[in-house]
Amino acid sequence: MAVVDALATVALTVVIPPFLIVLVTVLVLASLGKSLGLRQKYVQFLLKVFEDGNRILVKKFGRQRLSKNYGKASGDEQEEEEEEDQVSREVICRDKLVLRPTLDKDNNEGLDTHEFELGDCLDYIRTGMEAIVDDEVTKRFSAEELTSWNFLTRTNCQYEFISVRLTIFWVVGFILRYFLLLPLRIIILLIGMVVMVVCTYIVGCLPESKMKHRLNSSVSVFCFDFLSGALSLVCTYHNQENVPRRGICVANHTTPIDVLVLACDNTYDMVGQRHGGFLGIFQRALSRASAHIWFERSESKDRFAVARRLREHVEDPEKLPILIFPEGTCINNTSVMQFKKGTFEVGGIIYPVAIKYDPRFGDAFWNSSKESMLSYIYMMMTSWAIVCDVWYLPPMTRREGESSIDFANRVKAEIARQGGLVDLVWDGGLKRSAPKIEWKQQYQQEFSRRLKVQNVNAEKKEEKTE
Amino acid sequence: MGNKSSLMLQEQDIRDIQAETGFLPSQIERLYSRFTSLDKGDSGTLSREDFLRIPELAINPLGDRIVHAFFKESEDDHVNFRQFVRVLAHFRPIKKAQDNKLNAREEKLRFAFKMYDLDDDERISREELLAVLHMMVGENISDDQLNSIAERTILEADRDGDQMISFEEFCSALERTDVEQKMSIKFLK
Repeated sequence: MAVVDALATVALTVVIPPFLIVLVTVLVLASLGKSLGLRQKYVQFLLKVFEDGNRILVKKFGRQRLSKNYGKASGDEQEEEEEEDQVSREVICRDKLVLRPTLDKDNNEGLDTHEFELGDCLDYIRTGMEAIVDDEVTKRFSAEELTSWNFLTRTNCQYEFISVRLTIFWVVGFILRYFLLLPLRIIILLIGMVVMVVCTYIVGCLPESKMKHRLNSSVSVFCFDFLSGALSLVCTYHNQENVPRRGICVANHTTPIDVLVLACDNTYDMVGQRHGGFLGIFQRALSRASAHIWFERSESKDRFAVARRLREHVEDPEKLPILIFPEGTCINNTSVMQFKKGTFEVGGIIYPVAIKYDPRFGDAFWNSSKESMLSYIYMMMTSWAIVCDVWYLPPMTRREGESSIDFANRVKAEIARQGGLVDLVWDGGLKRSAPKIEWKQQYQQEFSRRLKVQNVNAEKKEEKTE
Repeated sequence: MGNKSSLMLQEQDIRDIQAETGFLPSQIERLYSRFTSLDKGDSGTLSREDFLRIPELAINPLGDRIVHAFFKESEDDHVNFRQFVRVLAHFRPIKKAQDNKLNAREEKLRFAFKMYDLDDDERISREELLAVLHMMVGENISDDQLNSIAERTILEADRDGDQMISFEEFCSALERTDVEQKMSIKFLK
C-alpha cells in the first residue's frame, strides 16, 4: 500500500509538473509567438544560413546554375540578374507555334488557303518535339525545382557530402528538425485540435445571435492561428483593405494548408466534399459553429444543387464570405490553371486572393497522387517552416454581357499577375485525366480550313466546316 | 539542375553523348532531368504512355507519329536516355563550326521523311501519304478530296514514275523550304 502511495506521489510530483509546464509554455508561445515575432525572426535566421551554404555550393558548381533571386513576387527585383537566372533554368526557348486547348479565333476573312505540300507537317513535328523537351503542363504537378539548396535532402540529395561545413549544417539541421521541431509541432497539433473541437462545440451551443457570430470569428481565428504554429507558418498579408467580408472569396490552390493560411486572418465559410478521417474531424467541428457547406460526393456532381446552395449562402447578408478554390485541384504554385466556371455563375461579388509560398523553407505542394495526407503532414512538419505571401485583391463582379468563362479568366489573370504565377489555359484536371479529343480536333479543323481543296464539292465542304 | 537525378549520369556517359550528338554537358544534364521527370515508373526508360502523358503532345495531330520516331530504334518498346537524346539531336540548330552528322540538313529531312514512311521501305506510298493527311485533317475533308490531294502531291514530286516518293524526290520537293529553321529547336546554353 505504502509503495503504491509512494509511487503515486512520485508520479504526481515528478511527471505531472513538467508536463504542465510544457503545456503552458506551448500555449503561451503559440498565442504570444505571433506578437513577439518569434517566427519571423526564425525565418530571417534561416535565410542567413541558407545564403551561407549557398556560397559554398556556388564555389563548387558555378554561379549560373545555382543562384536565383527570390524577391517579392511582383515588383522590386534586380531585373537583369533575374532574367539571366530564369534563362539558365529553361532548356529551350519556344517562340513559335505552341498547341493549347483554346485556339485563337481567327477572323474568317483573309484566311488564305494553300495547296498541300509535303513540308506542311514540319511545324507540327517541331512543336511536338519541343513539347517533349519542355511543356507547360506536366511540370505543374510536381514540386517546384529549387536552384539553391535549403538543406533538405528531399530537394537535392548528394549535396550534403560536398564539403565538411555543408555536412555539419545539414546534420545540425536534421537534428533540429526531427528531434526538436517535430515533437514540438506534434504536441501543438494535438493540443490545437482539442482546443478547436472544444471551442467550436461551446460556440455551437449558443443560440443564433450577433454575439455568436463575433465569438465564432475570434475563436476561429485563434484556433487556426494556434494550429499554424504546428507548421511554423509565417504569413504576410498584403492589402488588407480588400479583406472579404461577404460574397465569395476565390484563391489559387496549392495545398489544403491554403485554408489554414487564409483562416488565420479572416473568417470564412468553407465549401467542400465531406471527408472521413483526419479532415472529417475538422469539418464536423467547424460545422457546429458556423454555416459551412459540405457536400456528399454524389451531390457535388449535381451542379444545380451546388449552385443553389452557394447562391442561398451568398444572398444572405448575415453570412460570412465563402472560400472556394476554382482550380479544383492542387497545383504546384508556379502557375494558375483553368478556373471552373461554376463559381462564377452564382453571381455576387468575387474577392480574388493570391497565395504564393516561398519554396525555400518547405515545399507546400501536396501531390495527392504520390503522397497520402498523413505523409504530407509529416513532410510539412519536418520542413523548416511554411512561409507565404497573401495578397487581397480588389473585389470584382461580372460585367454586362460577359460570359462566366470570360469572367473566370479575368479573375484568374488578376491572381496570376499579383502572385507572379504563370497564367495557363490548361485544366488542372489533366493531373489525372487525359486531354479532351476536341482539342486535337480543333487543330485538325484549323488545318483543313487552310487547305485548298480542288473538287467541285469543295465550296460545299468549306461552308460546312465554317 | 535536376532534383535528384543529374548527378546520377556518369561523366563518361556525358562525354560520349556529347561526342555523338553535339549537345553541351549542361544541356545533356537538363535533358536527363526532363527524361527522369517523364519517367513516372522510375524504370530508366520511357514508354509510349510516358510520352503521350504530355498534354501538348496528346493534342498534336501528328503526336502518335512523333512518339513512334523514338521507338524506331529500340527493340523492346522502351526508350533509354541515349536513344532519347539521339532523336532530339536531329533538332539542334545547324552551326557551321559544330558540324555534326546528326543535325545536318539531310538528317533533318530524313527525320521528316520517316514521319511519312511508316514501313521503312525508303518510299512514301500513296497509302502512307493518305494516312498522314488523314491525321492532319481529321474528319473535315472527305476521302475523295484527300485522295485527289495525295495524287496531285505524288504527281508533282515523283520523277522516276514509280508512283511513290523516294527520299531524293522528297528532298528536292522540299528544296525551297527552310528546313533548317523549321526543324530546329532553340536549345539554350
